[in-house]
Amino acid sequence: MVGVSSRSTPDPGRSVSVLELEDVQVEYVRRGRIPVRAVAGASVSVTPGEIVGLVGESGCGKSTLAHAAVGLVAATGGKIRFGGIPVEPLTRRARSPHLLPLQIVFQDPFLSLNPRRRVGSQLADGLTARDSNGSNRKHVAELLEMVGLSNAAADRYPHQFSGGQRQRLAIARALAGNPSILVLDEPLSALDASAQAQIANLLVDLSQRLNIGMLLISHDLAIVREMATRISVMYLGVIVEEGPAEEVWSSPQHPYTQALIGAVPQADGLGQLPNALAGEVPDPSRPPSGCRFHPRCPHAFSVCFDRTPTIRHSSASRRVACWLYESADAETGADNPLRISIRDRVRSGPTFDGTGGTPK
Amino acid sequence: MKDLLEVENLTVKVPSQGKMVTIVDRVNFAVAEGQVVGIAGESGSGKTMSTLALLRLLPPRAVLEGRVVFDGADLVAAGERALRSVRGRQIAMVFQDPMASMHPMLSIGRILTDHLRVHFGHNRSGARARAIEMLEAVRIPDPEKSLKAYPHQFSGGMRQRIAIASALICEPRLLIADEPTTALDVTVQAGILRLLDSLRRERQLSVMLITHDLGVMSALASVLNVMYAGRIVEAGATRAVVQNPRHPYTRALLAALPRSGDTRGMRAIAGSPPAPQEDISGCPFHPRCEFATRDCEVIAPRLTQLEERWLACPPDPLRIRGAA
Repeated sequence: MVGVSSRSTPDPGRSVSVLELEDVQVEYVRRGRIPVRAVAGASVSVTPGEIVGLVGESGCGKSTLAHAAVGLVAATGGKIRFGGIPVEPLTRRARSPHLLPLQIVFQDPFLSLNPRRRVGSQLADGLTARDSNGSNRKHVAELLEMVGLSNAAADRYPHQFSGGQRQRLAIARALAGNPSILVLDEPLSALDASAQAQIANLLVDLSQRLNIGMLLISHDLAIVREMATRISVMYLGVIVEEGPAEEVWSSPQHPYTQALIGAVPQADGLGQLPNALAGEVPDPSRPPSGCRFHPRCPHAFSVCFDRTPTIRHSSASRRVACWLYESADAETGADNPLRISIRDRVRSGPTFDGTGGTPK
Repeated sequence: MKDLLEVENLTVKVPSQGKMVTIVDRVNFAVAEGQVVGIAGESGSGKTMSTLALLRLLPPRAVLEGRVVFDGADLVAAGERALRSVRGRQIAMVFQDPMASMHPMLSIGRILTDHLRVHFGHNRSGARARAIEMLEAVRIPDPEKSLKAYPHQFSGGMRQRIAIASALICEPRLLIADEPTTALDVTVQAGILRLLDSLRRERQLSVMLITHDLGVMSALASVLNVMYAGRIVEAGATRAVVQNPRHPYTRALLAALPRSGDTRGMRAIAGSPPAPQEDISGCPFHPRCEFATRDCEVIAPRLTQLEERWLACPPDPLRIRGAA
C-alpha cells in the first residue's frame, strides 16, 4: 500500500503522531546587538484531524514558531516532539525519516516553488522521499487530483498558474510526504477573497478526509475562526489566550484578543469604523516589563506593569494569560505564592498602588 | 455635494501578443467633495488600471478613451504640463506596499518635502515645518527625529501613515488609495481607516478607495462599484449593495468572506477570473455564474439603472432587461 489513494482511510500507524510544542523558546542572536527572543515560551499541540489556529500580528513570532515546529529553526529552549520523538533542527544531513509526515506549506507560493522545474517533478521529490519507487506519474496525478488540479498541470511550470492554483501545488507537494501533521504558515494571505475561500475549503476537506492535523498560522482571526477547531492567540512571543475557536471568537477573554476581534471590519454596509488598538507592537528585543501587552492594554492596572501573567485555565476548555482573570480560579491556585500575594494586593483596596501590600 | 471627478466611458487598451486588449471597458463613476467612492473586485479585474488611467499613468503604447473631468478640466485631453500640475498636487496616490513606493535611500524628510518644493516652491525651513505638521496629523511619534530616519526604520503601519502624509502634504483634493491597508495587520488597518475617515470629515478630502476587502469598503466608502473583467457590474450606495447584492458576482464575493454572523461563510466562487486576452462572449461572468441562462452566453449585458442601483445582469430577480 504505497499509493496515495490508499490514504482515503486513515492509516492506523499514523494516528499517534501528535505534534507537541512545550514552552518553546527561540532566540535570534545578532552580533553587537541585543538578542531577540522571537518566541518566549509557547505551548501548542496538534493531533491528527484537528485544525489549530495560531493568530497574532506581524512580528509576534508566529512564523518563527511554525518554523521551529518543523525544525527549520532551532529552538533555544523547551521541547518540540512529533509522535513522541524530539524534532531535531535541520542540519546539512538529510532530515530524519520519522519527520517526513510533518510537512509545512509557506505563505508565498511564488517563492516556495522552483520556477525552473516542472510541477510534476517537484511533486515527485516528496514521493521519492517517502518511497524510492513512488515517483511515477500516476501518483503525481493522484496528488494533483487531491488538490483539485488536472493531470495536465504536471507538465507545466509554476508561472503558468494563478496564485490560488500555485498554493494548491504547494499543498500537493506537502501531501506528497503523506503527512499526519501539516504546518501552514499564512497559506491564504497572498490570495484574493475568492481564492482564499477555495483554499480554505480545500484545507478543511483534506484535514477531515485524510485525518491530517493542521497548525494554521494566520493574522486573520476571521478566517481562522472559520477553519480551526481551536485557536491560540500570540502576542510578542507568548500565547495569551487559547480555547475552542467559536468560544474565543464569541467571548474573547484577553484584552488583546478583544482588540484583534474589534479591529476586523465587517462587510455589513453599516459604515462602522473598526476599533483601533493604541500604540505599536513593541521591539521584541526590549519587551515591556510585566505583562507584555500592558502598554497597549485598556484594562492595565499596577500588577500588569511588573508581574508576568502565566497562561492558566479560565474554564475547563479555555486558558488565558491575564491578571484580570487571576482571582476567578483562586481556589486552585492556593499553592502559588505569587497568586496569593496578588490576591492579597487586590484585596488591600483602592489605595493599592502596585508597590506595597505584601512584602517582596 | 458637487462632483469633483467625473469619469465617462473610460476605456483602456494595452498591446498584448500583437493585438490590443481591452482591460478597462467603458467605466463610469463620479466622486463628490468629501466623499469616499470604492471600487471592488478580484485581482485582474481592472480596478487599479482604471485609477492609474485617471492620471494617465499607463504603460507605454496603452490607449486611453473616454473623459476624465476633474474640477471642470478633461485630463484625457490635457497636455503633459497641465497634467503635471494635477499629479501629486490635486490628485495624490497611496499604494499597497509603502516599502515599494518609497525611495529606500531618501530620508523621510526628503520624501515628504520634495514635492512641496516642486509644487509650491517652499524653501527648506518652510517645507520642513509643513512636514512636521503632516507627520503629527498622521500621528507619527517624534516627527522631528522621524524626518532624519529612512523608510526601513519604520514598521509597515508607520510607513503607510508616512505614505499618506506624503500624499496629503500638498493638500490634494482627491486621494486615490489603492489597497492602502491590504499589507497591514487588522489592528493597524483600523488606525489607517480611522485616519482616512477623519481627513475626509475635517478637510473635505475626496477618496477613491480600491480594495478587494469588502469589510474595509463597508467601513469607509459611501458608494461602491464592483468590477469584473474590466467592467463595472454593479454600483450603488455601499450599504444597499452590501446588504442586498443583486449581481451574482457581488453575491459570490460576499459569500466568499468569512462569516460575520451565523451564516456559513467562505463559499468559493468556482473557476478563476478570465485573463484579459480571453474573449468571452456574452456576459464575462457567465462561465462562473450559478444563475447563467442561455442568453448570458451570447448577449453582453449593459449597465442599467434600476432605482438607486446600477446593474449589468439581465436575469436580475426583478427581470428588468437592459440588453438589446
